[in-house]
Amino acid sequence: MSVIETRKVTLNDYRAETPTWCPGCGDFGVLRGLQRALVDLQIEPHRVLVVSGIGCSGKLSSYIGTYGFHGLHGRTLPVAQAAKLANPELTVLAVGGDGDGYGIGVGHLVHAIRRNVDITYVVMNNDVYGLTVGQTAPTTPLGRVTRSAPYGSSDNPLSPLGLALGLGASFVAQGFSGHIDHLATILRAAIQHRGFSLVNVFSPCVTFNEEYGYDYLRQRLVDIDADAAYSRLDRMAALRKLAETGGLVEGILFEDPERVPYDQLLPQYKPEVVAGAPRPLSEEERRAVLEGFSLTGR
Amino acid sequence: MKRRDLVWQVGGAQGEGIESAGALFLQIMHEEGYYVASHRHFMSLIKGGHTHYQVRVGSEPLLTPGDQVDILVAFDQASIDHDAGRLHAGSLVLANAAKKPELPEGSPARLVPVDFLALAKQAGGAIMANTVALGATGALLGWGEEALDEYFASRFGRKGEEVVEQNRQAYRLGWEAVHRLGVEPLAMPEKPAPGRRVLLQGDEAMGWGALEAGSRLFFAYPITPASEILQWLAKWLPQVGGAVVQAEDEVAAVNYAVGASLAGQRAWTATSGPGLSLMQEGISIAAMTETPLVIVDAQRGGPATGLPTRPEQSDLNEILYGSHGDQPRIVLSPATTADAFWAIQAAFNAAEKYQCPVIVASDLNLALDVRNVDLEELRRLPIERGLLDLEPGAYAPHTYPRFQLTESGVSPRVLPGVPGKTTTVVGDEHTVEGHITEDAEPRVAQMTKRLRKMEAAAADPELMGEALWTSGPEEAELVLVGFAGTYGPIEEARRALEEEGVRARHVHLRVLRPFPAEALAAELRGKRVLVVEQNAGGQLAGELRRQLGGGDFRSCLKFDGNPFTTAEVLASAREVLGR
Ligand SMILES: Cc1ncc(C[n+]2csc(CCOP(=O)(O)OP(=O)(O)O)c2C)c(N)n1
Ligand code: SF4
Repeated sequence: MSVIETRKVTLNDYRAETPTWCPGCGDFGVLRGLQRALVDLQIEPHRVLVVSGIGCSGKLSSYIGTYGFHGLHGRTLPVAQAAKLANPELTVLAVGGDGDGYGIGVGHLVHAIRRNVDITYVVMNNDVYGLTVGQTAPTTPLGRVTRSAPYGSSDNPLSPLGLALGLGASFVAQGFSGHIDHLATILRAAIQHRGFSLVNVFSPCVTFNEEYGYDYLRQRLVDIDADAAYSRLDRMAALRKLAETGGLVEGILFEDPERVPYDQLLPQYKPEVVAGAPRPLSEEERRAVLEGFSLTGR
Repeated sequence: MKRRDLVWQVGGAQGEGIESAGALFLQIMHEEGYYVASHRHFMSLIKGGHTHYQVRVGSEPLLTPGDQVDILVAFDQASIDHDAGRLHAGSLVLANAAKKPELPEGSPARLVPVDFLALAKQAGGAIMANTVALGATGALLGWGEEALDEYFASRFGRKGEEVVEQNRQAYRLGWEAVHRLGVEPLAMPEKPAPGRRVLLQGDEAMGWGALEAGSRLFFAYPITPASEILQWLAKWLPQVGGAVVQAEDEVAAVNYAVGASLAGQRAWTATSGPGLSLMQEGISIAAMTETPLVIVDAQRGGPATGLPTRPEQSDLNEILYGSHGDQPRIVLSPATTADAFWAIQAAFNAAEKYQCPVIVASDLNLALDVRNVDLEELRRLPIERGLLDLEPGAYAPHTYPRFQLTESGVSPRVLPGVPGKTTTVVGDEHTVEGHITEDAEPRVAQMTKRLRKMEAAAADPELMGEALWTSGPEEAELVLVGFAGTYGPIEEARRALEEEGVRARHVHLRVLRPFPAEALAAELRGKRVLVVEQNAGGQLAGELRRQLGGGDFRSCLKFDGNPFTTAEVLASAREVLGR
C-alpha cells in the first residue's frame, strides 16, 4: 500500500466562483461559516455535496467549491436525502432560502424531519423573497408591508424552529450571519450530528428588508450556547426558550443524540451495495427472486 | 371436441373475495402447465361495486384474456347482467342459487345454479364460498372429485389440518352440486409441452428488470396501476441490499430519483398520469443538468380526467410533450409483460448513455394483467453506463468541463466523491464548467448540444433497432398501428384477418422518442392505416401526423373504461377495408 498523503484542508480549497450577491448580503456570512466549519472538520471538498434551491441563497452551491447541485425551487431536501442514501460517504448539505424551505418546500421539510436522513439543512432566512424582488415570505411578520402585500401581510408568520421541534427533529439550531464564528461552531455540530439537522440562519437581505437587518438582530439575539444552565437535550426547554425570546435565540436549541438515523432503520440496506457500481443479480439472488414467483418446470 | 383455449370468469361485489378466487384459479391453471392470461376489472372503491376477474387458459401463448366467456361464475345478478353480451351458445353460468339468478331473455347460455354460501357454511364457513365455486368449476371441466386435495394441503397447510380439510370439503360439495345436475363437462384445452414459465405482471417484470439492471434504490408515491412496482420492490430491494423510499408525493419522488442518480445510483420512480403531471418540473431539471432519470408512467383514466381504475392510454401527449423548456427525452413503450422486463433495462442504459430522462410508457393492462411467460422470453441486457469519468483529476474547483461540447451531445459525467473534479451542476443555463450564464453564445451552444443527443440516440442501432415490432406480410392491404398494452388485441385481430385471407400487418411502436419516422414511414407508405389506441383524442394518430408530415390515418378509439376486445379491433379493421 502506498503512503497516504495527508494534506491539510484550507479555506483556499473551498473557494470557487466570486459571489454575485449584493454587497452586505447575509449570505456571504453563511458561505463563510460553512467553509469554516468544513475546514475545521478537515473534510475535503470532493467529499461534500451541496444541494441548493432557487433564490439568491440558492446560488451558494456555486460559490463553495464542493460538488453541487442547483436544482428546483423548494426541492433541495428530496435531492439531498436521496444523494446521501445513494452514497453515504458523502457529507451532504442542503441550502436555500426561507421561501424555498418554508414556503414551496415545507412539505419536504416535514417529511425530512420524520425520516431523519443524515444530512444538514441550512436555511438562509431573510424574512423576504430576495430573488423575486421582495415579496412576502412565510416568515414575514404580520402587518409587514412588502411588494406583494402593499397593505401589510395578512398571514401569520411560521416558526420554523417551533415546527421542527414539534415534529421531533433530532437537531435544531439557529445562527446569524453577523456572528460567523458562532455560526461555524453551530454548523460543525450540525454536520457531525448523525441524523437530520436544521440550522436556521438569520441572513439579512440588505436590499429588500431593511427593518430586519444586522443591528436589529445584534441587539436582540439571545445566545443560548453561552448559557450554562440551558440543556440542549430537553425539547420542552427548547420550546420554552423559543416562546420566551420570540424566536430570537442563537445557538443549538436541541439535539437528540439517541434518535436513530434513517439508514439504520431501512431493513437490510447495505451502503456498500448501494454505493457500488451497478451489477445484475447474482445467481443466488436471481434464484431467490424466481422462487418468489409461481414457477412451472422447476 | 378439442379446444385451444377456455375463458373462465368470476364476478361479484368488491370485497367478496372475487379477486382471490380469480387469482387462485389462475395460479392452479398456470401450475397445471397451461398458458394463462388474466384481466381484473375493478372500481375505485374498496367494498361494493362490481368487480370481475377473467382468466383465459390455453395451449399456446396467449395474447389477450379473451373476448367471450365460457364459464361465468356469478356471485350476484349484476355479474350476469354486466357480461351477458360475452356469453355464447356453449357458455355455462354458475350462479348463486340463493339469489334466484336469471339469464337475460334470449341468452344462448345455460344457467347452472349452485348455492355457494350454504355449501360453504356446510363445509365450515362462509369464507369458503370461493372454494365451493372452484369445486363447481371442477365439475364443469371434468376434474375429479379430489382434484385439488393436494393443492389445498400446500396452500393452507400452514393454517392447520382443519382448514385444509374444510377446503377439501367445500370443493367436494361444490363439485357434487354440479355433478348431480348432470351437466355435460366442457373439454379442457390441450396441455402445452411442459416448460419453465413464470406467472408475472408487467409491473413485477419491471421491478425485476430493474434489479437485473443494477438499480438498488426506488422512490415512489402510491398510485394505481404503478403501486405494484412499489410493493414488489419493497419486498425485494432489501433482500439485495437496496432500499425503497415511499416519498411524500410525486414531486419528491422524482427529485429523490434525480438526487440518487446524481450520486451514481440507477434510481427511478413510477407513477401514473396525475403523478406524471407533478413530476414534469423534475423531468426538466434532469434534462437540463444531464442527470440520468428513469420514470415509468402506467397510464389509466386518471382522477380529474377519467375513470380512475380503468384502462386508458391518454397520457401520451403528456409523456411526449409535458414539462417546460426544450429538452432531450427518450420514450420507450413495452408491448407485452416480457417486453416490460426489456424496457426497464433499456431505459436505464439509455438514461446513462444519453444523460437524460427516459420515460417508459406503460398502461393499466400491461401493468396489472397477470400472465405466464416462458423464462427464455425474459431478455437480460448488459449494463451500459455511458461516458463516466471517475478518474481523479487536478482541476481547480469548478473548472472541470462537465458540460463539454461534444459531437454526440454527451459529455463525460463525473460523480461526487471523485477528487480534483468538483463541479456544481446548475439548472439555469450554464457554461461548459457549469457556471450560471445569461450570455447568448453559451446558451445556444449548450442547448444545441443537449438536443444533439436525440440525433445520437436516433442513430443508435441498439435503441432504434427495437423501435418497431412488426408482423404480417409487408405487402399488406391494411396496417394496424398501436403502442403499449393494446398489443394483444391488435395482434389477435391481425391474425384473425389473416385467417380470413386478408393481408394485414401490425406495426407496434416500442420507441416513441426518438421517433422512428423513417422506419415507420416505410411501413405505412401507400397502405391503408388504422391507428388503434385507448383514448378519445387520437393522441397516437396525432403524433404520427406530426412526425410523418401528415397522413390519411383512420382511428380505432376506445375510452369507455374497458380494455379493447379483439372483436372491436377486427370490426374497425373490416370497416376500413369496406367489408
Ligand atoms: C416552481 C417555482 N415557482 C416560483 C419560482 C420563482 N422564485 C424564484 S426564487 C423565489 C423565492 C426566493 O425566496 P427565498 O427562497 O426566500 O430565497 P432568497 O432569494 O430570499 O434567498 C421564487 C418564488 C421558481 N423558481 N419556481
Ligand atoms: S436581494 Fe437580498 S438576498 Fe438577494 S443578494 Fe441582495 S441582499 Fe442578498
